[in-house]
Amino acid sequence: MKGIKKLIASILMVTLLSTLFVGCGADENSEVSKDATTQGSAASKDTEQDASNQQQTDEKENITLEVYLSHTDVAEVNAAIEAFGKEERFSHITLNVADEMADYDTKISVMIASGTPIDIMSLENPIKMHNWASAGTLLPIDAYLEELSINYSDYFGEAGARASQVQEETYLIPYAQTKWLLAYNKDLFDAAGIAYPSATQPMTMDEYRALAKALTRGEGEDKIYGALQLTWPQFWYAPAILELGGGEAFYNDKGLSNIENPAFAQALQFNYDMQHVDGSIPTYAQAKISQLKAISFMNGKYGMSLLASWALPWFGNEEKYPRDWKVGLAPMPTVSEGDARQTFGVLGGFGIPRSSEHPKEATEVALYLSEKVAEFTKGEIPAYQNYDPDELVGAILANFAEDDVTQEHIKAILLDPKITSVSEKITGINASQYETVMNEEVEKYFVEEQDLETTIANIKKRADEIILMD
Amino acid sequence: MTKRRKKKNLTAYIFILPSFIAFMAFMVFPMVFSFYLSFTDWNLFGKIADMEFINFDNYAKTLTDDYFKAAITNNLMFTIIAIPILIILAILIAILLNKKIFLRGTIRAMIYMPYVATITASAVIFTVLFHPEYGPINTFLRSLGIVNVPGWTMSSKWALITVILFWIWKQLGYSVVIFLSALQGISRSYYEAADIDGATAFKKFRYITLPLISPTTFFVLITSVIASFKVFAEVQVMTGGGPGTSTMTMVYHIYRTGFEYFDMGYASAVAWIFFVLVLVVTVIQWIGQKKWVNYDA
Amino acid sequence: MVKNMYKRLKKKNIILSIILLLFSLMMAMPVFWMISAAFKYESEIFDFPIKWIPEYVYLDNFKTVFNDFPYVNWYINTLIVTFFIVVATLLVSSLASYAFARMDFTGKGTIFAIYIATLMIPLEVRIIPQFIVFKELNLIDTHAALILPWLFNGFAIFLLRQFFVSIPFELSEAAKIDGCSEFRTFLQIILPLAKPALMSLTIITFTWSWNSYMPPLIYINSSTKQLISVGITTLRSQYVENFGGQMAGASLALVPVIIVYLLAQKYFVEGVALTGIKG
Repeated sequence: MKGIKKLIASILMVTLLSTLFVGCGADENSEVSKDATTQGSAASKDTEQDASNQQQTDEKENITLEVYLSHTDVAEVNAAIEAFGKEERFSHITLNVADEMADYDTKISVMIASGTPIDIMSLENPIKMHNWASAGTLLPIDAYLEELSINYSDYFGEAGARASQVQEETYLIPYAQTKWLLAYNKDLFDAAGIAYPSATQPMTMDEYRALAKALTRGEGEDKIYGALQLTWPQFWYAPAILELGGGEAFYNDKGLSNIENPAFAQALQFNYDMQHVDGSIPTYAQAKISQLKAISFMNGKYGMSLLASWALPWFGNEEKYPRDWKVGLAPMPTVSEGDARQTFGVLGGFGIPRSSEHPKEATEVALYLSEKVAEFTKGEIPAYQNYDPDELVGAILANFAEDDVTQEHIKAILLDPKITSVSEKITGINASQYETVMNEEVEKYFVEEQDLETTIANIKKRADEIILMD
Repeated sequence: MTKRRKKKNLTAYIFILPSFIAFMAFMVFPMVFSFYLSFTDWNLFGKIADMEFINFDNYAKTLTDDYFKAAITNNLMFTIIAIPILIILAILIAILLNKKIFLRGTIRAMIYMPYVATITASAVIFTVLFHPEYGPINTFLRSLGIVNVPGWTMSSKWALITVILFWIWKQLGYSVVIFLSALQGISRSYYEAADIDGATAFKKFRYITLPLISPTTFFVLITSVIASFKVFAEVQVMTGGGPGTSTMTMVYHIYRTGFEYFDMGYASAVAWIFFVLVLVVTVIQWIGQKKWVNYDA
Repeated sequence: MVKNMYKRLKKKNIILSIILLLFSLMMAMPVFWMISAAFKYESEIFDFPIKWIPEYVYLDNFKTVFNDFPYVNWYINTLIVTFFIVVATLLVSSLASYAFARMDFTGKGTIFAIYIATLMIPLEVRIIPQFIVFKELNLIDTHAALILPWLFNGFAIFLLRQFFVSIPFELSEAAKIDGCSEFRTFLQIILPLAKPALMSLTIITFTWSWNSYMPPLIYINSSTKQLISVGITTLRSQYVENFGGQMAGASLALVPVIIVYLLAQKYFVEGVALTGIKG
């Protein structure tokens, strides 16, 4: 009996100790994938040359690409993946698309950090792309683009190509873009006796403010606000980035924070006045406490709302978001009379992590998927430029069956080539932390605990520290 | 060591063996790993082999990190304010719920609800109660004539208190359960003897109940202090750390630095400082227990 | 005289009951809100003031949860995993606590101190190395990865140890004199006396593992193996929260926790106390 006890004890001790060596395994793994990566590109160079000789090459081994997307319910992407499965030239590649994940960012971080091979991942917006790229998670794909002879500007336009880069290296393979516009509640306009805004000519920010004031009525819990506003920062800095040309303008030409540019202070003051002087939009405090979301516009208590193109399908979903009022669409307001037409938005798409074992194939497949998303668009504005705009317009229009919205409206608001779209979010070094710091100070300003000058000064000081952090 | 001693040791070790194996595999390795990380600049994705050893740079960085300073201050204030209120309330409620009252089981279950409900749901209710304009609390305060009612979550002064109250409200369920179980261990004969001697309710509480549940009180004290230091979800869902940094807590800072900014090396350093801090507080409590905790009835 | 006292006590009890009932109703409001949200349209859920009974009862949230997602799988998975966690915790921790409370051995104080120290390490700090451990053991995407770490439960060990230590040593002395081994003393003398503590541990462990979020998030990849806590957050799509659906799933998930609580708290009945001990 005693002997057995000793035996059990020693076996368990050994098992115990072996777990301590687990740490070394992690290093091995990462070494292995590094080799695989280099091997991958070396091998693909060979196949490139063979393919260009138009020879029947049997060297196309079957490979599987691990795909982890942040959302698996995007109709266009699923259609693209289906089309991929039928494509002859990709018959040797299988896509293994993982199940829907909760909290994608946390989960994918842990997976990549522990060396799990992932070939294609989602990059939802520029800040995330910057984060991952600066952390060294993503592979720059310029080398593969060269091999595949792909000109990014042809695919995604000049601006799109640039927006997919961090410090001149390309990381993003975009498949969708978003654009912001103005939606309004026609019934509330009728009740206030105000004419509908033009769908082809944008109003100015001052006109937006005046309209909001005119539409506001009632008090307390039944109050109708002139416009919906969330706690998202783009609601207040919209005029600033439209004037200065996009999220890059958060950095001055020395690379430090540009917050002292008067455009930002003006935008802050403008928004503050709408909240506290006009009372035409929910105050920051109210928006936060009531947990206002973009979907709140559907409850019919807001005269207008700035919103993004991804919200348009909601209007067509009678089942989930019933409404008894008609909606109208108008272009994004401009800063001053006679300004060139602008709006802002983000590019979203795929990225190739460093742990990928087949980066060139992954790049090729991702680009293919992006093309197909454009072909099968059901309302997402594609990033890929060659698509049939009438299909897109038709798909979007289907959401507005009873609202008297026309093709011309949609084309004018979203697809007019004369509209420049600038980047919606802070675009540059340590953007994530920059945004956090900015939001913290602005929050204090909006809840009336801090004046404008102090807010700007604090943001400048703290953002500069953050930018200079390595 | 005598043979008898050895045998006693062996038996004891076998009792603790299963837990010890799991401990080594799932606690020790992560702890050692994160300790090692705190001396590097690993940003989560570079090769583990690539990361650089940067000695105490991470620790030095905490001295100039505004978030870190805010977090430590907030955590200390949080614990100092929250724990006494929680313990006193929990003991009182447990005693009340130990009596034979109508619908006792249901009432006990309902008090437990904030602990198990989805945290967002609990936050919504709590926010409604403390709504600066329409909430019952402020309406009541206004009816008392107070003009400058607190802005609760929307005021840097009051946000932390609001999170504290929210946390206490949620923790009550758990603490009451533990105290209830402790109250079961008190033999009725003690109270009967006291009744014969004509003791008042307060005297019974002070001289019988309190000392006899003191090991449990100690337990709730230690675990609640630790839990209060680890506050994260409550902050995330109620205030996001604001306004400003008035509700920033250590774990929130660690999570954000590690998982949103990907600076795992620095996050590990903060985590270890956090660990040492909580350890010191716990040791102080542990030494102090000799003064007031009674073991061995 | 006695009758009057009895009447007064009864009156006090009823008043007490009513006050406590009102207080506890307030505390139960989050649950009422969850249930109410489960029947609402998305844009109305966060409306203020809260409409406890929705104007238009919307049943699709439940339909979505059951039809579009493997909710039943999640439910069963969570039941199974939680069951094993509770059983494992009770078994392993009571053994260890007994040793710390009632046995003497070298290193007892140090090991116990380290065990308690681990309570102070937040999960977020441990999760990546733990993930590496499970990856090496090929346990990713298995339920074993969720259950095994609970074999070490510093909290449970601490709780039970506090309880065991307050059981008079005369009892175990008497048993040993009668010839009981340490293990038999543990099983037949001490454990039965610890029912309230074991029940409170059951409630707490059940609650924690039922609502546990980060481990299943990180370790489970397949949707059909997922647990409820993480599963319902996958109802979220890129731009819409789908909170109504999440609340539908979460409300149904409350039922087992409440049942376990109601069953276990029956042991918290005044009078079930140590017997046979004089003074």
